[in-house]
Amino acid sequence: MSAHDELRRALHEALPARPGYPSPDLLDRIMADVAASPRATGRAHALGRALGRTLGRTRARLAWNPRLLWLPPVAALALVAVLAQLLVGQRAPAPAYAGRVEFLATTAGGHVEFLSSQAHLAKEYRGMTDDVLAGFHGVADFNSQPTASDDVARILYEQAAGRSTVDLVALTRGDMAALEGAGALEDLTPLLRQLRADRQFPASLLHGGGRDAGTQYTIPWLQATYLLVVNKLAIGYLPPGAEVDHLTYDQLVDWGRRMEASGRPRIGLPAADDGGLIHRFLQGYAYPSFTGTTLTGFRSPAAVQMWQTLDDLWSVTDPASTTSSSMDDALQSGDIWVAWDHQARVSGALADGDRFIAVPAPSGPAGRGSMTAVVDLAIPKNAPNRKGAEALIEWLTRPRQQLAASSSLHFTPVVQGLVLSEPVASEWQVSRSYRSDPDAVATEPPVGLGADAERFSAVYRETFTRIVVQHQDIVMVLNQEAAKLQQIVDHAGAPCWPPDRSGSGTCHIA
Amino acid sequence: MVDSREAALIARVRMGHELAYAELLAPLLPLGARLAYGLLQDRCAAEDCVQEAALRAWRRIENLEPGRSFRPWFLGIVANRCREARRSSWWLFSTWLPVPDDVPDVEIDWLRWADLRTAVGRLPYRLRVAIVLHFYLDMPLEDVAATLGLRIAGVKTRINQGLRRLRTAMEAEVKDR
Repeated sequence: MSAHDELRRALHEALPARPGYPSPDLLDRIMADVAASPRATGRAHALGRALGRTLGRTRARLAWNPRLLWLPPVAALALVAVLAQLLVGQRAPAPAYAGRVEFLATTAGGHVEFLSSQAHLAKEYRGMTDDVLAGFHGVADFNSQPTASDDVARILYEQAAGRSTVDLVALTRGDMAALEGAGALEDLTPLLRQLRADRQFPASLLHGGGRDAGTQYTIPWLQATYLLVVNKLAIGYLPPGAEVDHLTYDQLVDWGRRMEASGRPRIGLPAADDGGLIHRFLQGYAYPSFTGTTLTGFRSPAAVQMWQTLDDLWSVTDPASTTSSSMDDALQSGDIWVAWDHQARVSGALADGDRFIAVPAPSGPAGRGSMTAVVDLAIPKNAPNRKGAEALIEWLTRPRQQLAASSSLHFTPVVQGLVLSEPVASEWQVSRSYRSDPDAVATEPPVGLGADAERFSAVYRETFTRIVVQHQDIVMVLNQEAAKLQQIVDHAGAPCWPPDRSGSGTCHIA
Repeated sequence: MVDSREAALIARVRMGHELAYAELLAPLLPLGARLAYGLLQDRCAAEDCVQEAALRAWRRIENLEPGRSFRPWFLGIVANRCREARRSSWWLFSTWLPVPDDVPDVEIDWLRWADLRTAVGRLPYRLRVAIVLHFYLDMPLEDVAATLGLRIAGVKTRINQGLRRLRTAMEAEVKDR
């Protein structure tokens, strides 16, 4: 080894590289600085350089020509005038940077009435108003509700009455479909075209619109999925042959039995009647994994098998789950070691990477069911401040605002190419593994039910309670609850949505 | 020379596009951080310097000569920022802080190379930066020259001077034991 190679090796050992260096959030911090530090435009720089060159030449002339002594005061006056011009220019709206659409840049947003089904928890609401919307050139009057039903009903009512008071609405894609189907949304195709000049949206999140192919009525804002959060203490109890990130439902049950040896049930499900998301677990995970469907196979033989497995799972699940609307506290207290929930509801545990990991939900005989909730932005027809609403959409899809929303609401940004920090980075990994799984059964929250969506989900929760908690006869319960579901779907006139095959007309339970 | 993709990104950055800057900068951060760490031997201070250098590069992108690659220009800014950091009063104060006697076992590996780190740290800046770029970042002489704005012959001179000083310093350490 040459002396040079030896020095190289010695330096690498003396100053070793470490995992995690530089910090994963370094780019985020830099971009936050960058966003807070708009710089002079190229024109101003060029002007400055030209002025410098002129002054240099003037100084050289003065050195040999005393007749030009009047020049310094004039030049000083000119310099003051130019600097004043530059300063005024700097105070004008900030220069165009990524995420800024030029036609909006100089337009104040005015008052924008913004309705959302997201960020209704106090902390999230504060994050929206203090971080996500702060700095917008206008007044965004942000209002959120726990469910979308009221927002959908209000907008449809206003459309029918021929007037609108809402400028911008943020709803999950399923809820938005009710507005889109009713022709209640403005065409945002031109806006999307302009936004895509600066930022990229995944093609899978852009759709041609339900009514007119090629027309975009919504702009994606945020997305989220559901996952298993695992305390690292639980890894030692895994059944032989089971891999924590490729579990089956049977292995999860077996794992739960083994973990009971630690003194108590260690699996948790958010099964509280008020606020728990157990209905999403059934619609997006259990049913698709066993039946390949969300709705049409509701009472199929595969569904009966699924409920038997869930019955077994419940026997090793913490009974306190029936009062848990979110699994974060139970995970962080150490009572629960393995829990399924929405990524935003376990953000506290996931932020503690020393204790917890995020893994995909289990798979069943029909594949690995998973649900991605996409929150879209849309402008109701005849919105009083359409320009302001467009400006706010442009603002909300800027990289910096996407990261701010991701941090405040614990959703994942939709704009591509952003560097995510924990815990959203882990959540994004799980989301990606769902998409890349060859056995994936991708689902969406119920689509097209509009104001009936909440009643629809309530039937799934009731079915869970009757079969799993109260141990009622599976086939009888499924037949009775299927009739209720069918009545709701018929009332909304909703066609099937993925993974159920959509055909013409209303979706029918087999 | 700068390829067409980089040229397009630089053009967008000149127009003020943040996302283009993130795309241009992201692949260089690990290298910039290693350079700063090699020069300062303090990871936190090194990250701070990279962060400040990145902001400075954003503000002064107009100074990047047309056709010149962003990479050596940015690394040059990082190196300059590190030199400034070492001149600061806080840096001088922090280097006077006493090293604890009861060093935990996990730091034994770190201490094994203390002599070399000290010797590199005591090199004059102009020699140290050439040594770190060439030997620690494994950068070819051409790239070191581009980063430091020197000719290759100048880089070779600095490296040779640096190596001579390092050798002298390390031999002195061995004699002192």
